[in-house]
Amino acid sequence: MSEGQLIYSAIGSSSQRVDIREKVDGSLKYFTDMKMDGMLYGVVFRSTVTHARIRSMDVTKAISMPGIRAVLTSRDIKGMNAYGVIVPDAPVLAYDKVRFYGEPLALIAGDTLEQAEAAKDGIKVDYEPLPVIRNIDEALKNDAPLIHNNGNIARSMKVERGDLARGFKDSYLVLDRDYRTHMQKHMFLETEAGLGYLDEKGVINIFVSGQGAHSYKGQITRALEIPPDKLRIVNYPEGGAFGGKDDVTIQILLTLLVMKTKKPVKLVLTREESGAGGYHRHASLIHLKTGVSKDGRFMANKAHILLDTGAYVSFGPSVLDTAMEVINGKYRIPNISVEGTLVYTNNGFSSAFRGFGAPQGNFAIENMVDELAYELKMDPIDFRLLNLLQEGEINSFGNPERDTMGAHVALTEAKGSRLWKISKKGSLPWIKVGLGVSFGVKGVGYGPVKDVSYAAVEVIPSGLVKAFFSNADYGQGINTGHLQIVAQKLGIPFENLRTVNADTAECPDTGSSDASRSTFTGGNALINACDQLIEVMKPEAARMMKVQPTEISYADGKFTFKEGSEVSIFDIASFMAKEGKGTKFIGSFEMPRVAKPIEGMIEAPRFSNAYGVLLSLVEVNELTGLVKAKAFDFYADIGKVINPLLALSQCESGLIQGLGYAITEELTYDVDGKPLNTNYTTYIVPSTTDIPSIDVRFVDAVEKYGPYGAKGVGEIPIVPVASSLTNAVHDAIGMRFRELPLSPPRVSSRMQQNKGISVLA
Amino acid sequence: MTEVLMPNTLAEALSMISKDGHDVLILGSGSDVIPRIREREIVPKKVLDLSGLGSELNYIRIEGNVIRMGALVTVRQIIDNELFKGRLEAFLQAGRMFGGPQIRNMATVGGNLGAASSSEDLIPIFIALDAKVKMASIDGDRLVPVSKLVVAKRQIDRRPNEIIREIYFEMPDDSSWTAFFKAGRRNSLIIDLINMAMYLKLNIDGTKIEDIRIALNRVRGKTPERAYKTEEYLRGKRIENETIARAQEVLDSEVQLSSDFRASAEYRKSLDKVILARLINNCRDRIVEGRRTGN
Ligand SMILES: Cc1cc2nc3c(=O)[nH]c(=O)nc-3n(C[C@H](O)[C@H](O)[C@H](O)COP(=O)(O)OP(=O)(O)OC[C@H]3O[C@@H](n4cnc5c(N)ncnc54)[C@H](O)[C@@H]3O)c2cc1C
Repeated sequence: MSEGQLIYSAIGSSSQRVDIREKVDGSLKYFTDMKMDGMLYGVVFRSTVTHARIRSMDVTKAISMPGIRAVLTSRDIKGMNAYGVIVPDAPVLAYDKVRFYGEPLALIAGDTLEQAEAAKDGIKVDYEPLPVIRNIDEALKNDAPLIHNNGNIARSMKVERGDLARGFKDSYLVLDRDYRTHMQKHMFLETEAGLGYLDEKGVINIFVSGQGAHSYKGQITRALEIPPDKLRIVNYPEGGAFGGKDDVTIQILLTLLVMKTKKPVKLVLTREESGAGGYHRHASLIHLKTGVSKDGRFMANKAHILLDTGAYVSFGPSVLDTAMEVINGKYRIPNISVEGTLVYTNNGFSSAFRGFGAPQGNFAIENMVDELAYELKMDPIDFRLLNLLQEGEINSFGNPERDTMGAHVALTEAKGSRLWKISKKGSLPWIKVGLGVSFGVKGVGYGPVKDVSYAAVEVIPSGLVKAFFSNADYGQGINTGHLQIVAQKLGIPFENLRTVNADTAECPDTGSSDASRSTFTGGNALINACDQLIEVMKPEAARMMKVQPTEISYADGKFTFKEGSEVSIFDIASFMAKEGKGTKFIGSFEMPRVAKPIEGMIEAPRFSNAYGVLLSLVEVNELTGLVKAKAFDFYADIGKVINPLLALSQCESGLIQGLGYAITEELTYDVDGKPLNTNYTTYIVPSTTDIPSIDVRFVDAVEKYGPYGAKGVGEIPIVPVASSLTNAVHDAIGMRFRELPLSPPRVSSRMQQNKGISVLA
Repeated sequence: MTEVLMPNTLAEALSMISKDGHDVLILGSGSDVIPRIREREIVPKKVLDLSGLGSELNYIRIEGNVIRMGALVTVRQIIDNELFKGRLEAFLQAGRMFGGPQIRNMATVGGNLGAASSSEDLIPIFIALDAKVKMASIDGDRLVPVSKLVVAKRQIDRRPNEIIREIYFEMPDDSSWTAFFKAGRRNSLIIDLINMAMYLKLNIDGTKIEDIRIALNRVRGKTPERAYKTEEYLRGKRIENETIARAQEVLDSEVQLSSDFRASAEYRKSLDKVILARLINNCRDRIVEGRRTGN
């Protein structure tokens, strides 16, 4: 880098979050606490049946109820009345059919929240019930009722390489296993929420907690037929997301309310509404057949991954592709066949969730790997190292492997973990201790689809540089990370930098914060914007100093001719402003893609990958079946670490969310397809008292194409957790759990079946 | 609109509910009731807020060998009180896992008795201690044994003009101990899958169970009750593996548990058995230990 000698080294320092103050002192408000003059309260009227044809719907009574300003149904929608980030198959407001419990049917705007709620009683729907499809197996039966006219299979994919039959024939050991994973809720602390108003220019402004801005805008304008210049979307910087706000949540509903009432409207889902109507992680069923040679080399891997996408597709295809991408680990497997099937059911609505299918795929393959290593009497890490692809080797999807060096380092370092030395003697006779390993892979970015990100920097003469990008900061700290990149690139102290985050009126489209891509793509786009800044300002500086551009160089916010002769970018900005020249520079970055994509696949294979090796120490109580995680040692390759504290927070939170996924959390539906546990009392996320001791190490690794060598960290930590825990449970009690979660009833009943364990204490 | 009554004395409070008590919802700290109001499970006409009665209803005292607690005593106060550090360990075992810190600071004893939703943790302990509840009204006090207090889920033997004033029980002697266990999916903020409280007294030479009371939040359906048959079986027995195994069978036949999405009846039963064994051994060990060290 030309601007090498910085007085200020931003990359690799734990800079304080730029938005810490408002969050700690409480001045940043939750939507529930916000109010505007004349604001109406929006509520969503939802289906109370799971699968039915709508014979008729009557809202006349609701309209005449006190304080009610509008009751809107599908008839009030001019556009295509459909959304869905990949396939717009979900109606904004259902009209002919409902496909899950809690599907939106109408919107009510009232002067008070109580009035709006009360008006729900004024809506009558006449349903013709249809049979409910509760899981993948039911959906695929020959005589299964159809959820959509085109059948219950939303997507099928198949990838093959090598000679599978031959691979199995030549194998010394072949295991054939089924794995099942369940549905997980995001449980962000702030539910789907937003506030919108119409401004004097006739533009609808929507402030919403989400993961981006531009993709929502595209979906809203399409669904409601609004001219793009009449709509502005701004991300509100809190709430949490984890993928649950990646596709449209309430954005279209809120826009419609503002459009029709022409008043400010607030819409905040209740926890139970978010539970029933919001997204969740796909349940999976994975058939896996894997063969190895006697000396522990993979010979063949055959997988069929079935995912339950619920009533609509949303991110389902991407999630399926990602599950398929990780089902071969990053192992050298010459013969593979990977099949994927995305299945409709009436189980709510599955979508993006941290890891995007990688946790499901990882659960299957890493359980399998552990079992194979165990059967072959090989050390679980040595077995993985032996099979891990070297850079340059052709991988299972036919591309040269380019970044597994860090994975080799992480696995090797994991051999030195403190946990190997811990005694496996339980504190009580019925407490069994075990240690498990898992190796996770999570690609960064969107894979083979063209992904160009735009971001901008603007120099303000008063002494500020503003960075504009649309990777939403919903709490993960991307505002801070991106500013560190700008600080490093321009050599400007952090205090002089500001962000404008995910506002369609001001920010170029950097895409959303998802797929672990924000640092990689947005960071590079910002670097490019800074390059433009330097390039455009250089001749201006030369003009100011009356020298040749070639005679000056840029460093630390200024162009220098020689010692003592320099101009700052702020002086140049005011010089340029006087001549009417703009000082906002847009940069772009196109995410590199693999050389050989796979036909039909949209999300995989990806170019760059983050890796994580997780060792878990567990205690299994043989009497109650309770599995407790006692310690996690996590070795991660996320490329260069931009901000160690934020990266650590991502790892800790991902591991904890994975712990919940593996043990305590499970979204369940009753026989009629009604969700049973939609709030914090009934849906059990880990509490602070359940958190094990966590040690995170980032291996020294650099991604050549990443900004300053960075990759991404958002998703990798959750990927290996469940498999690491089931492998640890096997180590503790000798039983393999191929179905999640590891809930006490499941563990207990298996132990009693298998061992007839006595319950004497 | 809901009317909120805020008395400053018990007498004032009692007169406020002397007539239309039916319409009045009594409010302790609200940790049980406020979420239910939010859910519109209850829509109170009037609320009687007891928070002004601290000077009359918030006390823990020992008179002779009788321990008395006012209805407004919080879980936090119980955990912090020296009285509960020994034989009344059950309260500590329940208290440590009771909600989270905020809930422990708020939740009152009166509210726990009043909630009666089947997941209260203090009720089984009080039952195991054979405690009595003192109901106050303008007509004077009325005693209700806590084992008779809960008549159905969310229904207690309280007349509309009554306020729970006090709960009292005898301090266990030095041959006895109390213990409590609750099983859930996480360590705090958990609605139990099952809970159990036990009072156990050994005979003079410490070889046999002289007396035992076992209370569970679920015995038949969803009201807290004693496991009388199991107690009867255990009384006079030596604590040996076979005895415990047999007691587990008795308990198994005595309880009729239901399944829900949290856990199946079978799993709850298997937990019951484990907990029974664990509590018996826990009490026995502590009594023996106490005798050895002279506590
Ligand atoms: C997050 C959370 C976690 C919880 N965890 C636990 C737990 O681990 N264990 C547990 O047992 N409970 C738990 N609870 C439930 C609740 O906190 C307890 O039952 C608590 O003891 C209730 O006391 P309160 O003062 O808040 O009762 P309130 O909510 O004020 O009242 C509860 C009921 O009792 C009645 N009542 C209150 N005081 C009196 C009185 N003096 N006379 C007559 N009637 C009265 C009320 O009318 C109402 O019907 C939890 C609740 C929450 C929200």
